[in-house]
Amino acid sequence: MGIGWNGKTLGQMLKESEDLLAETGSCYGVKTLSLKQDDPLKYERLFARLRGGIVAARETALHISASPIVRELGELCFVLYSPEGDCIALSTGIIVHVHTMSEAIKWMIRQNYEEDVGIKEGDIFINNDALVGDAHTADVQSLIPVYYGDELIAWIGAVTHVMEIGGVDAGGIPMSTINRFGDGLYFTCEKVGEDDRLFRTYQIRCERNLRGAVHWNLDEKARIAGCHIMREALKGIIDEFGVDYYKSFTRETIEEGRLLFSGRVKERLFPGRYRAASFYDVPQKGAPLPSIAAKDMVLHAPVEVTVKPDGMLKLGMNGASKWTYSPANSSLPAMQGGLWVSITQMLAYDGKVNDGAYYATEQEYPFGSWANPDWPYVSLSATWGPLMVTFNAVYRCMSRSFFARGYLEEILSGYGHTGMIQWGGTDQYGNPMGGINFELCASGMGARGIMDGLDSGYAMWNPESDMGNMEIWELVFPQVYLGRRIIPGSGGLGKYRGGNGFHSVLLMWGSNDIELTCAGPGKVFDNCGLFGGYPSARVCRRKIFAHNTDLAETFKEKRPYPSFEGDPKNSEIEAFVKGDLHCDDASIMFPTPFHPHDVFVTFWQGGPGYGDPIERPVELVEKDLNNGYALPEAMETVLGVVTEKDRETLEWKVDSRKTEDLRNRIREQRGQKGVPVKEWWKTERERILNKTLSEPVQQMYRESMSISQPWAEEFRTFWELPDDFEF
Amino acid sequence: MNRTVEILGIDAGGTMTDTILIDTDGDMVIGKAATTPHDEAIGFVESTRDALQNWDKTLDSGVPEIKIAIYSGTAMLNTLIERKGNRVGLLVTKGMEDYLLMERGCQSYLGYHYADRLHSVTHVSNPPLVSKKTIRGIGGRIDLFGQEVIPLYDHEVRQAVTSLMEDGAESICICFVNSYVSPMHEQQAETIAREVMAEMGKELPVYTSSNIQPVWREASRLNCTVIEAYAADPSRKHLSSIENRLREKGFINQLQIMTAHGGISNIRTAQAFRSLISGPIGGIIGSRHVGRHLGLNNIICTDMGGTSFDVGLITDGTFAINPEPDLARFRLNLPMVAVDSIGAGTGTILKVDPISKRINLGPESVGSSPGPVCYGNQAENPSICDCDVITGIINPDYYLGGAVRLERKKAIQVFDEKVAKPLGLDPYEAAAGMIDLVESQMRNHLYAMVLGRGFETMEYYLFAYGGAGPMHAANYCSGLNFRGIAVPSWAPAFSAYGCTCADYMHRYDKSLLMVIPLGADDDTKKGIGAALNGVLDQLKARAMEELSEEAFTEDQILFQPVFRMCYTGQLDALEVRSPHLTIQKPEDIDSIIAVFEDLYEKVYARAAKFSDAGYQITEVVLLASVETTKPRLAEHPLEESNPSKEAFKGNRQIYWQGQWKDFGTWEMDHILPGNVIQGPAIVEHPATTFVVPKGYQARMDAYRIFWLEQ
Repeated sequence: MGIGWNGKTLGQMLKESEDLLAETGSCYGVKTLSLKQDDPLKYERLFARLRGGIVAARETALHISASPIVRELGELCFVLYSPEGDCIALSTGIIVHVHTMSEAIKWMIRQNYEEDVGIKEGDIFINNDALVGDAHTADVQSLIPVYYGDELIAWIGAVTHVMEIGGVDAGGIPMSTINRFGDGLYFTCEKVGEDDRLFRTYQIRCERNLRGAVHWNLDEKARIAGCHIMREALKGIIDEFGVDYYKSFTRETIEEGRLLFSGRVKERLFPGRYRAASFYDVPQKGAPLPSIAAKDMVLHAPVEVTVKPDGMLKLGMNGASKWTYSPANSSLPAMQGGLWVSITQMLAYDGKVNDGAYYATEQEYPFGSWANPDWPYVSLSATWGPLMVTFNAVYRCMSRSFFARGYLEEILSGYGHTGMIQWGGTDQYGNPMGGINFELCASGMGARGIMDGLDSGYAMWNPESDMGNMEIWELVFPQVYLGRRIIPGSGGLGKYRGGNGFHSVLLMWGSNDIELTCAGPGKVFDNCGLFGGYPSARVCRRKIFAHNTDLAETFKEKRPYPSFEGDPKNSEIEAFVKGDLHCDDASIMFPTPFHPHDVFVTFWQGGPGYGDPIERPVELVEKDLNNGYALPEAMETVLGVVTEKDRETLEWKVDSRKTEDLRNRIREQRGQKGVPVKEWWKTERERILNKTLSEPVQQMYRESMSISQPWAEEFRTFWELPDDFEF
Repeated sequence: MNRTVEILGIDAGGTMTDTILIDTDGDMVIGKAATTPHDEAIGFVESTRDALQNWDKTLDSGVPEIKIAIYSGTAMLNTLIERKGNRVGLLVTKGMEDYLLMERGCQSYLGYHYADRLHSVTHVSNPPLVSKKTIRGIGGRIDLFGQEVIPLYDHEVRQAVTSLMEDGAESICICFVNSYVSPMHEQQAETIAREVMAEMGKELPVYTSSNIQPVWREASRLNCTVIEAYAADPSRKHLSSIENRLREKGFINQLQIMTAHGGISNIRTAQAFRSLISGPIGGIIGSRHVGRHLGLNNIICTDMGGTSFDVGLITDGTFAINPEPDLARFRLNLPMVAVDSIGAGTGTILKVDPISKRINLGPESVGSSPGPVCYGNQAENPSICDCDVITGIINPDYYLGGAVRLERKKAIQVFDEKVAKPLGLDPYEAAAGMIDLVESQMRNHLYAMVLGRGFETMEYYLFAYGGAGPMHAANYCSGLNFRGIAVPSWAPAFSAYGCTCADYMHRYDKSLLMVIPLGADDDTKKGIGAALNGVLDQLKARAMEELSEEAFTEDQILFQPVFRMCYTGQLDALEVRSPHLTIQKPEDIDSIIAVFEDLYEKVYARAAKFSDAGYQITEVVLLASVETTKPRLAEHPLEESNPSKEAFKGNRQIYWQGQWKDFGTWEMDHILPGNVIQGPAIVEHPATTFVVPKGYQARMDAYRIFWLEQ
């Protein structure tokens, strides 16, 4: 006698649902939406009740957390699942996890937890293993089973992004880790509580192995309390609607989610294959790491989105390079999460937002690649690095398809990579510290098809972007903000520009033991811009810091100090700070010590642009200059707009006549500069044949070709290379 | 009847301006007029005239009798939304110059519904209240402990104020990081600003964030301070013009306004931003007042109007405060009586997706223009109000007492085409279904409000008011097992009524970081007590200063200390009313902790408790109130249970639960205390329709409140 419906085991239920999907093509073999047809109003009422309950659970629970990541930025999500682990309804928040938790539940079922571990009412499970069902180690999930009578009627899952995970570096995303053993504490679908209470031994393990365990503790309480709130609400709802109706409804609503998604794909996207490539560089050469890892690497993220006429959407990544001895790898659940968060923002934002949409997609990630590693001990600390670059390519593919259908208003040309900065050492209160400054959750949004992208207001993994308050971040970390400002010109230019990113200038303060780690976009482009739009500013001094500064004197004498970088050609940092200034464009900074009066400048990237820059409406240029969104020089050189600052009002004005002349000249110059594709192809082919590419790039292609034969063949065919060509 | 009008309450809502007049015996009468957003004074006067008319009085004869006039309106909100405020010169901590453009990243989706929050391509930034041109960054930093890291760059303040004044700034607004801990730099900057003004021979108002709202989270504090500088003046002018209209007719006192924290205040109050929102608050204050009278401590207040369904909770006689609400797409640290709203009102627009056949209920509303289809103003989409007319619940010939004739045929035709046919349903069945669906959303909202906070519906009475509350209450409460469902006979103007029930009250907030370690010894607790008393003394001194300017004496003022508390490390705190005016002994700290623990468990469930972490007080709040003359709840003798014959208006066919049924129809004004109306029945009033379904009865008590009973 199983704990599932009608005496079945969960394993039987899962297999049955998978078989039915395979046989019939519809979720659970649901042929018609009979409940909806018979009484559409009752049907909608139940869905509204479930979603209302899960949203309310989140709203209540986020107040419990001590972590600004959760409380200030809302990095918390609650989801209701079927016994097999299919999402029925979800709250807002980090919805990337809707499907990752689904995978975790299915994993427990496949491991026969029902018999070997036991799944009872009141049990609490925890998971943060991205190979099993998560995005990365810092995303911690609580999963609770819900019984109605003797049957397991549902699962409720909650996830928070934690501040610290007890890894080799402080914070949630260790960067010096090269395999699983440096990633921090792993909980692989572990039972950590019974009767609604956590095991004391588990709590002691967390307290003893995490820096700043108070954040962990209260995050966990927030997740569990929210799950319990939803559990009670769910039982009330089932009492009201009847358990049989509820069961049938959950089947139907997921199938309806699938149908709605396919319908939306057919309506919004134009059938065809859409391709784009992205890359992520991992500069580990010279890093204090074992020799197997201490080298520069580039990850290849080729993306192919196929829109089928029947509404099926497929994401393939043939040609992805091999996993690495670095924290920058991903896993199947993480990739699925990335797809989920993209399609719920672009296509499945209303209607039945649930796993039905997932079942209307196909995915293919080559086994052995960084997106689907074949080594069980691979590090999954910084999955978001390669994942974000991949989905920038997906956004471009989707946007082209929107364009082909005529949905200009749906186009989103990409986004700024959010990067991260994390703290270790001792905090201003004298306690061990580990945590991420999550103000990063507000990079620039890519330009839209009908307007500019949002400035400092987008994070691809959480549609509710937020940078939080400086006063709150100063409570948590030993820092004093010298400024938090828009980076002019950081959004990619175009007819519509990408949203700008922002700088924070952080003065180290209040502790002699500070260690900073950071990661983010590197030297290669991932947000390329769309239809002629420029990529966002990238290698432009991504990382700036200064040790041994003269700022104490500066302050005393009330001399100017920097509040942002400003125009890199006239950097405020260089102008106002004397000391050991460091500036580079590497995507990773391994743990580096800092002391009071040292300065670190964060760089939260802008989004890519859309359309030909010389078509940009001139009134937008005036607004940009007057608000400090843009650098005057680029207006002329890139946009072909001639501007002048009024001496009296100090406002920028466009000279329309000169602008028209300049834009005409640019058009002429373009004609002169352009070369036929065939010529360009020849030159590039020579580089490939002569293997003059850098070693990390050659290694990347070597891996792509060895893992994926079809991709290798296509590469050789396109470049007309010998059949035995290899890098 | 010879009566004297004593209190006037006005609530200018989005659609209608409601008036309530209360006489010296506690009798009430309601007036209504359309809200006139361009000049609220017009709607205000019309609504007052309408109410006075019911007592055979004119403005000239009635207004001189009024002793107290309380106003709740949207003038300040409109100033913000329309961006028609003052030209503000803003000084911020250097490095914060872009703050109003960056909007913390989150204001781009505030006010959006669920789908658009996910659909990120729809997010847009808001035009800033202050142009970048009149914002200046000033050197200087204070750290989280209040220590100076960088001295104030006074020369920059001087230059900034000079140039801003030359640029035509109408006020100077100052907001520096961590000024909630130490206001030193803001105060220094204010002094310099005043010196500059003296030198330039022109005095402008100066607003500092540490004075306006010394509470942590600089983005929200900056919003509050800028809003005060931007909109307070225009809003005061507006309120003065309303007061003047009353004065012209012989009113001799000062007009008062409702504030977000649930007190009333003089229109000349120093902190106008606290009256930014007040309409939905009135109903909660009114419910508490009636509840006190009837001995009810736990009340769920539900207000259904044209655009939204607002819910507030009174638990143990007090309401919760939301410390950081979102209003007009601004996030503010403006403590506000917690009201949770969903876009479910009679104006909620109904649509059916042509492809998926999915029903969309709002959240948009038809508003007053064009209004529902039945208004006959060529509205494209039907709304809930049309469904109420189609199913016969609303009498098309008695809307606003017959002042507006509703076009039922037109409503049926448009609804059938847009909703019923696409769903393959009969229009009456579909209309009833839509009502059912919106009521279900409301029930869902209520359920989440109560159970989500760890309370039981059985512990609560429900009050239903607003123009549409009485119409839908029976169904939105169905199955929730409240202890009782009350529908006041003055429900349509209950928010206006509520404004007249509030105490005169100022609220003073001050953030701080005060840790109470686990197992703190008596000496530690004494130290904490002394520090808290110190802050309370500061707040009290400020309260005394302001209230004495408003002509109150100390013996009239009632002080209530409140501490916002949490477990150490948490970023959100609960509002704990201190059982002690000042902290005298270590045990006083223990009793404050006990109140907190009790409250925490109720709100967040036992599993979330974390006493091992110790406690933290994040904010000291002082409520300084003066008791006011409030409406007396007139008690009437109970008549027999059968209503008089003249109250009966005949039977009406209503489409109810799948078929047409006869409902007895009654005139509300003719129902007497003690009368019981048996369902199915409709009780009509010019401003509302009260539905008593089959199986229910409505009993009017001695205070003219209907109790809907099964």
